[in-house]
Order: sequence, then C-alpha cells, then structure tokens
Amino acid sequence: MIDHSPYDNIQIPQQLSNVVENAIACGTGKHRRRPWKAVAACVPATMAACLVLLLNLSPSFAAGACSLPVVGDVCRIFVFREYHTQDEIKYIDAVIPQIENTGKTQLEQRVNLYIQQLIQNCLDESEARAKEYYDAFVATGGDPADFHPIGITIDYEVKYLTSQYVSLHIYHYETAIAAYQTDYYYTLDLESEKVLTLKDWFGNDYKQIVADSIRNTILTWSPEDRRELWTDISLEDLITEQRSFYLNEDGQAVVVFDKYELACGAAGRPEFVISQPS
Amino acid sequence: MDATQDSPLISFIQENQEKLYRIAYAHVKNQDDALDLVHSSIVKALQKQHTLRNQECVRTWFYRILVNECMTYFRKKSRLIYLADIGDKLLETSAQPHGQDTYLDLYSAIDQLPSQLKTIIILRYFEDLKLSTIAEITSTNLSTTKSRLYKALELLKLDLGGMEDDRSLSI
Repeated sequence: MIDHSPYDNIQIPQQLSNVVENAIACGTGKHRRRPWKAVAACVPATMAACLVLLLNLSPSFAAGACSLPVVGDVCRIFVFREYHTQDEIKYIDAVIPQIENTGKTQLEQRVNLYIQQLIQNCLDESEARAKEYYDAFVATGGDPADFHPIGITIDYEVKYLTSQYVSLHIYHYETAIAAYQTDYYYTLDLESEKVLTLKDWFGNDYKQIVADSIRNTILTWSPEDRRELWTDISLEDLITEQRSFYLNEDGQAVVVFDKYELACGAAGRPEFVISQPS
Repeated sequence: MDATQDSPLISFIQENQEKLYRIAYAHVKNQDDALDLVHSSIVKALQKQHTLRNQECVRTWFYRILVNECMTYFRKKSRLIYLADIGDKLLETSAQPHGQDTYLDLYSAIDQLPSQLKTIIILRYFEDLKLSTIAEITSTNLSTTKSRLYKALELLKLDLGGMEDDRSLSI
C-alpha cells in the first residue's frame, strides 16, 4: 500500500478554524464577507440582467461630460439590503447589491433601480411558485407539517471591477422538487455608460470570433466531456448579441450557456473563456 | 431551514475540518487555495443541505461537493491535461520502482496526474475509502471508477499485484 504519512502530516494552517467558522456563518446566511481575506479596493460584483427589454441605457452620454473615477477611487458594490425569512412554505435568503462611487449619479440610480426591480421580480415569482407547490401538496392530501419548505436564494458576485468596467453576476436559486437556477450577467462600461454586448466587446465579427474560440476549446476536452455535447449545434446561431457573458478577473470575456443549450443536463452550464484572434 | 449549531451537518464540518483541508490541499498543493476550497464547499453544502437525503451518508455527500469544487478549481486553472499527454510526460521522467525512499517521487507523480485520477488516488489510498463510496462521490459508476484507478496506478508505475487484487477491487 502507499505510505500515506506525508498526507497525514500535511500541516494544518492556523487559520483553518476561523475559515471554517466564517464559512458556516456565510452558509447559514449570517454574513457574507470574508474578513480574513484582504479585500482589494475593487470588489467585483456580477450583476446579471436577462430581461433585455429593460436594457434601455442609452449610450448617448458624451464621455467628456462625465467625471471619470480617479484610479484607486473605484466603483464599489455593496449590499444594499438582505432578506432572510422563513415560514412553513419557504425560506428566503436574498441579497440586493448596489453600485456607488462611479461618479455618475444618474447611471447609478438607473442601474440600482434596475437591479432592485429584477430581484424583486425573481422573489415574487419564487414566492408564487412556492405557494403553488404548497397548495397542491395540501390539496392532494399532504400534511402541512410534512411539507419541505422551498429554498429561495438570490445572491451576487462581482466578476470584474476596474474604473472602467463592472461585470456582475446575480443568481437566483430555488430548490423545490428539482433545483431551478437562473443566472443574470451584466457588464457595464462606466465610460460609455453602456451595458455591453458581445458585439460591443468583440466588434462586428463577434459571432465568428466567439464561435471559433469555443470550438478550439472544445477540441482540448476529453472524449468523455465531448460526448455530453449535442451533435447538431450551430454555435453561430447560439451566439447572438444577447448571449450572456461576463468579464473574469483577468478582464477576459467568458461566454455562458444555459443548461441544455449545448449539452445534456449533466454538463451543467458550460462557460468558455474567449480568446481574441492574434 | 434553521441551521442551528446542533445541526448534524455543522457538527460533521467542525469535526472533520482537518480532513477536508487535507483532501483539498492534496489536490491543489497550495494553502490559500485549499482554504478557499474548504470555505466554498462548506458554504455550498450549507446552502444545499435540503438536498441531503435522509439515508445518504453525510460524508459521501460532502466529499462530493468538495471534490466538485476541486475539479472546478482545476478547470479554471486549466490544469486538466489530456490523458495522452500526461502518459508521455511520466514516461520521460525516470520511473523508480516503489520503495520506501522513493515516496517523495511518488507524491510528485501523483501531483502530475490528471485531476480525476488524482482524486481517486487521494480518496482510495489517503482516505482509505471503498471504491463504491468513491464512485458515489465522483458521481460515476463502479466500473468507470475501477478503470480510472487502474489507469492511475499504471501512470504511477505501481505494481498492480502489490497494490490491489481482484478481491479488494470488487468492494
């Protein structure tokens, strides 16, 4: 047998118990920050907004008229409001982020209002669904005491943040009989005050650039992973201007596909870092 | 879901935190990243604890979350190396027969394994888990797990006769 004493003797860092307690607190919804980790001035927030009809931010602001944030004085994303409630039908853990300090008050107000509305819509939908499940359960003879409350979670992450760009991811997660997750991605160019699409990022040839990059990445996958892909995909058709993407910590665009768009459910939600042609 | 301090999941986490750290560290060989993985898997586990079925073993369920976090880490760091490439790489390095003074070479060989095979070696030989448990943790079937184990041992140039026999592989 392999001697596993080097494994058993792996040194346990002093911070482990703090990390664990913090994780337990985070996981049970008590607080969301990681105090032991040095948080840089840039806290990337990912906001996803999939309701394209509300994306009416006009790009018509002249750059000269806006005061750009000074380097180091970067846009901040903070938790505006948190909901943690529980009853016999559901429990809710929701966090609403807001942006501030961009130097553009109108933009901030618009974006923040949009985020609030988006999250409120998600919560309303989830609560209505939870009530439906509960009513159906009771109507078919179930004992209310046996009903397993529906879990509703809304949270965000900041994917990328500089003085020019904010890339946010908001996810809405609901567990009932099956898990239900919606991801929203929202990348904002603070200079042009525009919500960016893939076309904005890569230019008119965006379809080809993105599709080629994805194809190259798939070639590096193992045969097992490749087998999970559907056989009749047209990448060019799937890559529209509305295709979800975010900027990762290196400032690269990462394209996101929903479950079942590219592959069977076991593959999850594939993401691809897009490399630009040299 | 009111997770009190008495919750079995929280007790499991607190009692097994060093094990969880070792498993993460054995995968990523970096203290900060290992702490990060422990943190994110705990948070995820607590958020999903309603998916833990009554009869299911907490350890298996949690290890699955932790291993998945490790795999995500590897994908992000682009460390998933195509199996054929790794096979050649290991052939190039001098292959020492397994002996007491060469276990450091063995550990560095384990480090170079593709992430899925690394997981199986860690869970089988460091955590002493049964193959059927490992299959559950990695969400694969038993025969896939066995063949991955064989492949890993082959790449590590370990004598299969000395390591496993058919009787132990059948559990």
